[in-house]
Amino acid sequence: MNKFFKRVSGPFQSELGGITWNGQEVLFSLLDDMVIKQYNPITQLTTDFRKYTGRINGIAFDKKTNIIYAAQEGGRRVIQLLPDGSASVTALRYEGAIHNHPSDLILDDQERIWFCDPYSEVLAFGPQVFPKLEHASIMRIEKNERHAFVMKRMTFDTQAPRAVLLSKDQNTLFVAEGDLTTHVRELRAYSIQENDQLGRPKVFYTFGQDDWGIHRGIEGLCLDHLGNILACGGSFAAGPGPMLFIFATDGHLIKSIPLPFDKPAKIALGGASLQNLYITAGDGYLYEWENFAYDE
Amino acid sequence: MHTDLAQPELQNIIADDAPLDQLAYGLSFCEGPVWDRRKSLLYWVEIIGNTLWKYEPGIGREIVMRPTGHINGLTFDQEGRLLVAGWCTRKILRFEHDGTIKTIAERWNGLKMNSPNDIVMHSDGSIYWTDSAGGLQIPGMVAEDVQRYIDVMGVYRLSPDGKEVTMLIPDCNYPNGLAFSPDEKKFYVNETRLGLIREFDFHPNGTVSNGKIFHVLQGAGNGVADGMKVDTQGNVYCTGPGGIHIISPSGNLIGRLRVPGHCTNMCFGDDDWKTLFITTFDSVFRTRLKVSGIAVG
Repeated sequence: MNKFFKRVSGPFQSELGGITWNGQEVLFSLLDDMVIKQYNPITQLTTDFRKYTGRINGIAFDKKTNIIYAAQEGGRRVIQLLPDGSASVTALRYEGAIHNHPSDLILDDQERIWFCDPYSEVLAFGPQVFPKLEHASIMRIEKNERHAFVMKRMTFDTQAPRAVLLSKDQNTLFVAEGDLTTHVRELRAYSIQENDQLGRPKVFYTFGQDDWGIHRGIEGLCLDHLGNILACGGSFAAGPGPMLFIFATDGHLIKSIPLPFDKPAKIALGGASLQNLYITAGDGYLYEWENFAYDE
Repeated sequence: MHTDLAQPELQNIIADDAPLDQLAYGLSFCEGPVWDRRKSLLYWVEIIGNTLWKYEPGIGREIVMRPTGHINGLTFDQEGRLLVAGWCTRKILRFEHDGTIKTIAERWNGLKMNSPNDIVMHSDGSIYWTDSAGGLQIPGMVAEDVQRYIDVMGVYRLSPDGKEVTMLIPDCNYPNGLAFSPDEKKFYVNETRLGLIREFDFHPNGTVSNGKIFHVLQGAGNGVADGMKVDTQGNVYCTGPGGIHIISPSGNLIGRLRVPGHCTNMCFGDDDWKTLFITTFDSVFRTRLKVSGIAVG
């Protein structure tokens, strides 16, 4: 069992979700409590960063603008948390329809927002007026020539995308596809082609099932300083257990490290030199691996 | 008009063969019906459809304004100006006679309102509204700023001179419909997520006291505690499961008007205020009652 992880915040009664580093603090979301917390590694204090978030899950910090982009599952939209404390909605509809429940997102160098749009067992707020989309895809929000947000569908072969990541060179999209309801749970790599379409995916890793149940797949993705992929997933319920995987961008598994806590959710590097690894977990804690390192 | 859960008193309110006319359909989240007694026409909004409509009997319906900013509850002041619970605009608005729209309230203690939901006016000129936060989160309803700043969802009062916004009732769960009794000595507020109506003693200085549960909505079907109005006999009409629940002044259910679809609100209208206009998610209906509602404006 890994001895490096320590609990640095929690326990929380709420489900923990998205996590990002904003240059000073680790921001992480409590979905049910509708709060984004901030953990300061220097003071080791946790305080509220933003309240009334509306079941925000995945979050991404844009260091150019200090805007936090947030996958608001409860509102079925991607919103911007602005530095002045306000919040605004990006694109809301795809081909005229309200999309599903965004769970994770990442920003590319062109300020485009790639997000997972799976279904959710938790209903959106208010009356259930809008049906879900007929597909659960990776979507992309970008600004058009009039600077208005528009949405584009990027994957056509996903059923339950859970996490999304871009390679360091921005030429590959990594998707954690599948949950406990779908036939497959795997980590995929799609090349981003010159025509702005995705190529056929390469599968880096596949999760199975046995008499003990379906093996939980990947929920969180991030890159390390080398461009390797850090992926967390799994659970004690079935399969090899909660795990941190480290993949090279060509797909080979560099290392898998068992995690001492159940149901890891999202993952990010933080600290002044991005030297620490942080994972939100299903047991209600934020975990830290200080001075994270691994041997190839 | 189908009714059920009826007590004998319901015969005094609606006839067995009362009509149910569909005035509009195919819309997107109708709300806020109000009768304009000066022009003899009905106004309502489509919240998601982002439209203010009017319906003139014998003429038909017509768009008044689009987009609206996803406005919600409507009423009239004593000068015949439309008052608006601005929902996603996060403001209380007033449509002036010269065609301009004036913001008459938007902040409490310096903080932006959540999303004003429904609105009512007292005879002394003070204005009251519920401030639930649904307009910040519900898909399809998009405020310019969707961040909530006020920790409670309360009921607010704007003084008759328009200068002071006070929080009248802070301890709400999700306040929605609100109404006065005919003598304005009682003030009713319903709670959507709790499925009940609260009653308060209302005082001439614009304060309330002695809050208690007036009625707990029961039954099955589409609909929640949402729009609410009172007739001249003091009966409270509240949307709820299955349609409109009519509750006596003592808090007992008299009967239920079964409304097709998900009922959102209602208002009294026509010259005798005995027509009941009903909004649902996608339609506007009309029926006739034996009693008059409290006149508006």
